[in-house]
Amino acid sequence: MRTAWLEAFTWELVIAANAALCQAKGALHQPTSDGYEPARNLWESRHRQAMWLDEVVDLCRQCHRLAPFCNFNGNTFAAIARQLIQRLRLPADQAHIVRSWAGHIVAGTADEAEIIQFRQLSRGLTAEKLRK
Amino acid sequence: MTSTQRKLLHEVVRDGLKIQSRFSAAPVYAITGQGSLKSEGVATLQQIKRNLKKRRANSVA
Repeated sequence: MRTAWLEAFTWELVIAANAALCQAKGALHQPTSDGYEPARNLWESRHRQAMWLDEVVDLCRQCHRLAPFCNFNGNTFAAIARQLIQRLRLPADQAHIVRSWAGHIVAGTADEAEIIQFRQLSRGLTAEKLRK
Repeated sequence: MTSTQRKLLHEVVRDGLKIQSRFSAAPVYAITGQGSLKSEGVATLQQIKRNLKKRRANSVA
């Protein structure tokens, strides 16, 4: 099922999340000179579009790789992707595994099997499998 | 920001803090092209399974 998973996740929200995560660790929250604009443009051009869940998670991975912020890009975008898994009607143990796959994909550490399994799950989603 | 977005932000920050120690602060993925993530271990999954087992046992009793 393709839907606008990230519709509510504006770039302003992404910035606020990174600011809060940096503040918690006393790290500098600042845009990078080379990654910020490409990541912002990519996010803003796509976050309202209807996509498969695996496409959304890959968008988070691409933004992580572009590194729009000086610190904590990884957990900023991984936490956004993991948040989307909350919308799936899954038993707790399965939800944990799927959240883990999403986190690995965004972190850039997922192996081929995880990517394939996540894609299969994503393409098999129907409206009934989502929480209201 | 709408109230829905504030709630989402709160949830994202909460989860982001939970997994923060597994990520490098520096933009390693951008610099090297290789992602990095410390292993979570099996403790969380084991806890979830224990809770599920307990819940099932309680519902049978």
